Amino acid sequence: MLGRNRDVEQVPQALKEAYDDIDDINTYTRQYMHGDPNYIQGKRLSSDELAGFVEKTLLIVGR
Amino acid sequence: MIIDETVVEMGNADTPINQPSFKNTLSAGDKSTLALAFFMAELAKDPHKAETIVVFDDPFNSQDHYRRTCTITEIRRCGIGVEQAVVMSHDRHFLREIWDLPLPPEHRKALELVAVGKRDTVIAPWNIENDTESDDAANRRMLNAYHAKREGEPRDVIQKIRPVIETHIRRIAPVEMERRQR
Repeated sequence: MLGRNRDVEQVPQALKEAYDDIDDINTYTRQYMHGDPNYIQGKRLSSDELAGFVEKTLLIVGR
Repeated sequence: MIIDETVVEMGNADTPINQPSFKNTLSAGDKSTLALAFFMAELAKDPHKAETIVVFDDPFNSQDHYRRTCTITEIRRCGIGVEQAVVMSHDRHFLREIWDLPLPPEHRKALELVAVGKRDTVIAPWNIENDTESDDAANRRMLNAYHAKREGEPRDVIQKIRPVIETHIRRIAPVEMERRQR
């Protein structure tokens, strides 16, 4: 999604500060981004954990 | 009228085909725009304008973006001065632009023709805002609904997170996003 590059001047500060959270979100969502829908159906998914990542996402992008 | 420094007469049904006239010089978009302009000018002078119901049938047909934007402005102006204005179109995004004009909600209604079986059609309320929102807006709506009320299927919700973040990054740091995608 987005690699780390804290030195790139064009990147707004707010985005640089969100890199760690974006990394977490990236790692979390990657396991559910799969072309085979059966693969996703078979994965365990905690609704509380998802709610936490949704909140983290909304804090980054704004509501 | 002067088009590309050439005088073009309006002409009439008897104007020879080899002589420049509106009939053989204007594009479909020009003709449509001109017809609308004549209609608007006529309507503006109509003493019964306030009691008139005006129907626009696909007014954006063959118009470029600039003309469409002007047409939307004119339709709005017209809608304020007449009893009722009806706009019919296949172009849902421009209908949305008209819908988004600052009108009181009780003064507007979106309807659609819905096919029933093979031969029948009914007129039904149209949820224009849902139907015309961008993928990003729809994804954000899904995340917000899950966040606020835990609405939505979790496996669908999780699929929306990355697209929303990617769109956000593309918006605020397009250079970075482009560089990463190369």
